[in-house]
This record gives sequence, C-alpha cells and structure tokens, in this order.
Amino acid sequence: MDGGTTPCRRDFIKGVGIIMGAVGLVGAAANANPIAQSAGPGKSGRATRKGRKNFYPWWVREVDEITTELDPAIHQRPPRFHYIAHMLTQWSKEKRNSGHARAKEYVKEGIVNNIPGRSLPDFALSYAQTAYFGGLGSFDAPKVIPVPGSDEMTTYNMHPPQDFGLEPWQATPDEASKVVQQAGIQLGAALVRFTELKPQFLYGNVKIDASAENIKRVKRVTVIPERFKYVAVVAVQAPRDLTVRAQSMLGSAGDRAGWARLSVVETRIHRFLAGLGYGVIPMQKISPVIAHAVYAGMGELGRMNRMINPLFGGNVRLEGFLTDLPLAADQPIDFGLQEFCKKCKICAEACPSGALSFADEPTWKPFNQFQSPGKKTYFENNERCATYMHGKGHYCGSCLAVCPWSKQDKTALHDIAKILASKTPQTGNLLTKLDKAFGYGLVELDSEEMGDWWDWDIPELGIDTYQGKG
Amino acid sequence: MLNIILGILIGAAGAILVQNARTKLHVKWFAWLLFIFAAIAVLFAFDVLTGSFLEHEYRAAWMGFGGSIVLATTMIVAGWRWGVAKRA
Repeated sequence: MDGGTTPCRRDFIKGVGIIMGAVGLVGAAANANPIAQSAGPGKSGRATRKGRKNFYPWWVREVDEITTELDPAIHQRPPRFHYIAHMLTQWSKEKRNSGHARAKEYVKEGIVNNIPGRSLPDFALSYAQTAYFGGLGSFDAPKVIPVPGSDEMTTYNMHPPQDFGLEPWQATPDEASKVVQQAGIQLGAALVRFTELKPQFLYGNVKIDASAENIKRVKRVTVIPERFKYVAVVAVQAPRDLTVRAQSMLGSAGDRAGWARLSVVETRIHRFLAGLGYGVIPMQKISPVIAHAVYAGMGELGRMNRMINPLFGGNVRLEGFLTDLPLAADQPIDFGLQEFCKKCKICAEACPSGALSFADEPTWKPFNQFQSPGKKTYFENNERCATYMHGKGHYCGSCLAVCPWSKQDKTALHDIAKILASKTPQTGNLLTKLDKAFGYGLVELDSEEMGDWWDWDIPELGIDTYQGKG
Repeated sequence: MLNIILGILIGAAGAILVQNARTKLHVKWFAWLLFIFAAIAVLFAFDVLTGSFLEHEYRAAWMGFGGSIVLATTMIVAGWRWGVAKRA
C-alpha cells in the first residue's frame, strides 16, 4: 500500500468501473438517436420517415431546418443559365477560341512529353469515362452534347402497370421511401434520401400548374402538375484515387467517372419509378439539385458553395427526381460544417484559379447575376473557375477532392478527426494543419506520383461500395 | 489476420504482466492505465498503417504509425520506470 495521498488498487478498480459504466451509458445514449426513431410529421409539418435505421453515425444530428441561413425577403429563383452556360452562349467567339487554343496546346504538351497525369493514356481514360455523360462539348465540339439516345433509354421496353389496366403501385410514404432507397442503392447509388419540392428553388422557366395532368413543355416553359411534389435525391461516389489527381487528365477522369455513373444510375431509377406507374422528371432540368439535397439531409453547404456529405465529403455527384409517388421526407443534417468551414480554408487554398472565398464569414451577396440571392454562403468567382477549366481542356474539382471530409474510411484516424471536427468545429484550423502534415490533399501536378495510379490494385470502378456502411 | 495476431500478442503481454503483478511485481494504478493506453496506441498504429496503405496515403500511414508507436513506447517506458517495482 502506498502513502495516504495515493489511491489504493481497490479505489482504482472502482474508478475504472465507474468510468466504463459512464462510457457505456454515453454510448447507449448516442446510439439511441431519438430523431432517427421519430414517427409522423416533424416540427415543419411534413411527413418524416419513421422506424428506419439512422444511416449516419451518432455525431451527425438530424435537424428541422437546413444549416444555411436563408432570407426569403431577398430570395430570387435561381437563373436557368448558370455561368458555364453563360460562358458558352454569351462569350465572344474570339474569347472562346482563345480558350480552345490554349487548352489544345496544354493537352498536346502533356501527350508529347508524356507528362504524368497528362499522358495519352490519361487523356484516353478521361475521354472513356466521359461516355454516358451528357455535358459540355470539349474544345471546338458542339457546345452541349446530350448522351445519344438518353431519352429513349428511359422509355424503351417499359411496361408500367397502366399497360395492364392496373393502378400504380400503392404504399404508405414510409414504405415507398424504403423501397425506392433500397432499389436506388441496388441500381448504383451510394445514398438515396428524400425531401419535398421547394418551389422557391425552381428555375424561372418552370411553372407549377394545378390544372395540368402531365409534365409538358409549353414555349420553353416546363409545366409541372401540382401532384408532383416529392423529391428523391441520389448520390454516387467518384473514385477518390483519381479525384485527388485534380487539375490533371486523371483527375478529370475521376470526376467524369462519377458523373457518367450517375447518368446510368439516373436512367435506372427513372425507369424504376416509371415502372411503379408514376411520373418522373430529373431535377437538373428544373432546379439546382444541391438545394434539395441539403434539404434531404444529404449534406451541408460548404465553403466551395457545393454540398459536403459527412461520410463522403465532396466526393459525391448528385441528381434528384421529382415524382408524384408520395415519399416520406428525410430531415436536414448538421455535423458542424458551417463552423468548420469558417476556420478551414483548404479548398480556397487549393483552387488553381483563385475562385473560392477566403472570407471568415459567409455573405448574402452573390458574386454575379448567375448566382441567386437569398442564402448566406461563400459565393465563388464562377468566371475564374470556368475560365480556368476552359483553358485547360479538362474538368477540375480540386475543391471537392481536397476537402478534409472527402476521405476514404479505411482507418479510425478519419473517424476521430470527423468527430473532433463535428463536435469542436473551432478546431478546424488545427485539423487542417494536421491534414496537410499527414500529406492528405491533392497529388502534386506533373509529379511522378501522379502516374503511380496506373500501378495500383484498384477495386471495380475504382470505388469502395462499402464506404459509409459502418 | 493482423488483428488476430495483434490481439494474441497484446493479450499475452497483458497476461504475463498480470501474472507477475500477483507474485513478483508491484504495479501502481497509473502504470496499469499507461499500459492500457499503450495497448490502444499500438492497435491504433497498425490500424492507421494498414488503413492508410489501402487508401494509398503513404505519408499518413508512416506518420500515424510512427507517432502512435512513439506514444506507446513512451507510455510503456514511463509506466515501467515509475510505476513498476519488484516485490520485496
């Protein structure tokens, strides 16, 4: 036995017992997330999902309102043409051609000199990944190129119940959400969540009409029947080993891999909802998807003015579906990102065009008319972003890839960092420094390391489909 | 497999310590605490090493592994030096 000031072994064992008991209680309380078990209408009056397993870990809170501040007094519906579209339609021919020439020269330089990340195989991979991705034409190709046959893909060989004189599938909103979520993941989505249509985020050329029977286009205006008010949002992963090679052709391949796979998943989910006998319209045609994704609890709006998911960070690509199948809504989430982003400016530092804000606080003022007012966020200089990519001949995505939340989940190190970041977001500055010290972030442009990817064993499609599954 | 091997090694070390604590050694309470944390640090070191290699994050792998092993070693040495004595 030691002197009187040192606790004896019995006291120590007793103390350990108390501590273990406390840890057990805290763990049990954390697992019994009361919001995840809630049933029926939430505070906002919408039907929320009941009895489902909470997808997110305990440090992600479900909340009634999104964490981005909104001001309805200054809100405007988003412009139909964001900056990329403006660039393609409003830039002078000389300005566009000048960018094309720079991009071609840059690409050719990489191929001729076999620069890692810009060699011919890298270039070919990027263009192979672009298959099934409808988007902007490269160089001096047509401005916007849809996926050939994409409309036909959603309707060919389809037999909804109406073909047999039957009613559409009937289920409670809870059951419908569960089934659509399960089907969505089987069809290739990493995440599927739900919300109600937010009409304030519809493009200016979209109109809701109570008397309309079906979705239709009338003189450039998309008319939506009032019964279409349920939104399913889906996310797919982009292969992180490629996306951290942003600013190169390999990085571009990673981004395109995400978008192209999303395009395939989109078609499949479209067919699933139509196969149940319900109407569907992809959200990208009528509204920015990010707003609905944030409402659906897919993530929070980050410093790059894009959505960050707590499990995948910015390493997801998003699409949504507006449907008349009644779906129970998920709730928005809060994992401390708003405070974290105030301290962490790693995306702004990584942006090669200097497009992202270094401000300590978000602002109400959009950068230009291609962003809509009404939300308090870090508006990016979209002109710099678009001009950079236009002059390089490939997509960038540095901000999404470098975000500290965009880690894979192979080590407990990330769990600890995310818990710290979520529960003590004021440590964002320190965690960002540690992130850099540990060598996370983008692979250095034109370095030998850039080409190492070709030597690695990689999983199918370059993604771990078990990520985020605990 | 790595986890099983680590579990066996740490379990064996713990069993030897407990056995000796009954007969030959006097282990103070804070030394037990340090040894438990050291065991957690060793497990964490190998978790970071293997996980980061799977993620192709080699610098993180060696920094996390090295840092955790240094921490574990420090705790073991400190616990042994100041918290363990031979029974009279």
